[in-house]
Amino acid sequence: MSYSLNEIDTLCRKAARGTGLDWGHAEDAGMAARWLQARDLPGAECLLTCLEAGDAARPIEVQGAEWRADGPLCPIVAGASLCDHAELLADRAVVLHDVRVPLLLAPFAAAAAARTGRAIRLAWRDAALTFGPAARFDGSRTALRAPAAGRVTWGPAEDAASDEGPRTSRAHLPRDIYDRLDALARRTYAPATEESRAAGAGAGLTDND
Amino acid sequence: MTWEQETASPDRGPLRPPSQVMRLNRMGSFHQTRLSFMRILLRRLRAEAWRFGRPLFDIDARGTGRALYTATGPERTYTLVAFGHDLPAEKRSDRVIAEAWDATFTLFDDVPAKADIDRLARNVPLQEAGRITETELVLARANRSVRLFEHVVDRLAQGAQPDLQAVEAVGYLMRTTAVYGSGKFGAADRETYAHRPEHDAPFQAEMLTVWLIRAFVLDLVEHLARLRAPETAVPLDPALRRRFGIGNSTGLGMAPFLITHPMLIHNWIATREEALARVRGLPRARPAQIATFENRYRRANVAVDQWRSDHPVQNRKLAMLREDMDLIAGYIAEHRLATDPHPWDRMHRWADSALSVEGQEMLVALMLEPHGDLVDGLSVCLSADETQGTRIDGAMRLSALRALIEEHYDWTGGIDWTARDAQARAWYTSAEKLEPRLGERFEEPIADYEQPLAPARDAAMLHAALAREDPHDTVAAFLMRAPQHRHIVRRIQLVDRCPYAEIRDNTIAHDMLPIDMLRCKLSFFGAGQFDPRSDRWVRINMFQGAPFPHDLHTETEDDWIFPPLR
Repeated sequence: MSYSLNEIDTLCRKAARGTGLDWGHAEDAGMAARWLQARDLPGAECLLTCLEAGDAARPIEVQGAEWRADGPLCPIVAGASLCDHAELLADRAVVLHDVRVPLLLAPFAAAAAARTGRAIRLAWRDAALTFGPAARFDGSRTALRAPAAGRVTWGPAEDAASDEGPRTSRAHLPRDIYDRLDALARRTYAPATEESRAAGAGAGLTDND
Repeated sequence: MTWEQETASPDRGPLRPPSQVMRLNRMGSFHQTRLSFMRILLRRLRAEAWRFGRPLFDIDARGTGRALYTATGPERTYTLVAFGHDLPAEKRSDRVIAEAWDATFTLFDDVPAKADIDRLARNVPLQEAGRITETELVLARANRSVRLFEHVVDRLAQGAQPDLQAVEAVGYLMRTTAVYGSGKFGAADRETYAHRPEHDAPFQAEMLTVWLIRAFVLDLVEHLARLRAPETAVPLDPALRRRFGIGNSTGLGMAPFLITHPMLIHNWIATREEALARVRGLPRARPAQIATFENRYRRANVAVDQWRSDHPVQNRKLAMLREDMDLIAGYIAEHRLATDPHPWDRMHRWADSALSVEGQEMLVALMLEPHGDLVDGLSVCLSADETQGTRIDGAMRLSALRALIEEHYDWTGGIDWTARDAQARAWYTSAEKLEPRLGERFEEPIADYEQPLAPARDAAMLHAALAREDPHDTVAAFLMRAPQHRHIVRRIQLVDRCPYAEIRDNTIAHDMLPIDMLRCKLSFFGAGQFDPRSDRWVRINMFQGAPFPHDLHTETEDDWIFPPLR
């Protein structure tokens, strides 16, 4: 089924919130999924993997240039924080230990590169991504989509990418992926009650004329 | 530095500060202006000599069937695909939770082939329960005004015109109850067509859709009259035909938009304020401009006289507005516009102390009318690219973040957030057809589902939390340990760059009126005849007085939105 990118962003934001992420990270999750889908990468499916694994609840420990948690790192939380730290990191590299679906770090690296004007390189086994001003993805789709990655490095890039790759305006999600994201999103909706139907939205029983 | 000092420019007069403009009381008193989206649309369609067609109109005596309306510009064609339905009266509802309508529509990008129309016939009548694709830009539906529809068909069938007073009492034959764009339900994302010149301004696809729906509805009543009585039926008198707009019924679903699109709202408000400031900066008023101003004032007065509402809040506002209109007449009679230096600015300053907020905002709109050459070009400033999201500046020190809150959200400090009234409400989405609702936090089990639509409270909570933090610490470090503030931190940093983005009122207060938010957005669309039905539901009229596709080319001035003088 074909979806607009807006639908993906909205669905993923709600799904993230449905798992208990704060609204700020939920917004980042929606934006990240959309960013990847716009480049014909399975952002929504990657996000679903992360959300169902529940890594976001794990606090991140920072020890010098090493970021780790007591289990796999959530790329939304780690990526958002790395992007927050973009100017503070300057030209230093960071090693992330055991990231769930590292491809989800890509939108944050792109945003960080845009923010600082300095190119950033993300790398994990068999995959290297460069950001600023455009994004370049080196590695097979399998390597890029790796569900778990061991070490990931986030640091300054030597050569910036200049060519933006293919862009798409639609996202194609398998029914199953959509349904599982939607199930998470539905947790953000309040159960309907007779009282809320009557009072909450305003249009009364005699809204016709 | 004060706001005035910071924003002063030799190219225009002073900009009103956000602390004055971004109050719900004032936003809920906005009127349409030259920069309204529907007026921008018709100016373009006229200037570029768009051509219009109706390649299909296959509707039976019950109003069921299909119709196609085309609009062709310099580079491409858009098609309104309309489906008429036979809706039983008991199923007619303006609510999001409705499941059937009198008519359903989509705006197709190009001219649909038969396969497209068949696909659309299976989906568009289902609205939210169907799917559309990237060849569709807009999805909409409309219901009849039972009061007026039958009266008009009946009169025309008998060879007579409908009663003018009955027409003016309602102002429309059908009202849209939702107009969806921007990728909803599978439609094309705005980004896929935003680069096209005709979509430079906001909501142009939606406005075009509503304008073509109006053409369909007027054709429909004349057609039904002819089917009913082919020997005696007459069409509508052309002047009377123009008095029908398209109604719109707007509920809470629209209100969150003003909070969830801060960059866009900033651009709308900032552009309108810039336009006002340019006019205020003019050293003299030319006779032609004064004449236009006086003409629009008199015609606006006709509209104000005809403005009807059953709602007590609106009627209080109307009473004040009518007094204001009298005061403006008195000011005009003194001929100060012809003799004062900086006469528009003088009049604006007079209004600040002499008129209610409704009258002040009416005057803002009227002052822009004679100055299209100065103001219309600003329409390019209205849109915003929101797909980028906004990055948090994590290097900012907490002391600087605290200072930002004190600069832009100082007014939140005066609210006692522990008082029940201050947090009485919560915005949420119901599982029932995903209808947005505003509930009573302490009386309903909704707090767990609260949407982030209370920036004032969130900023106040953050400010209190920062008092316990090391001011030299960074935002990046703070957010790692306090992620619950992430959303509001991003927003506060954005508001610093976009000062008109934030509503300077408590959006969860017990006495907050959602209709103030609705009216603000609707005024930018170009709506008029605001008729609240409750504190969170409003009826409006769109395109009332406007030309139709077949007579757009005869328009010489952009003044259709003002009723003719009697």
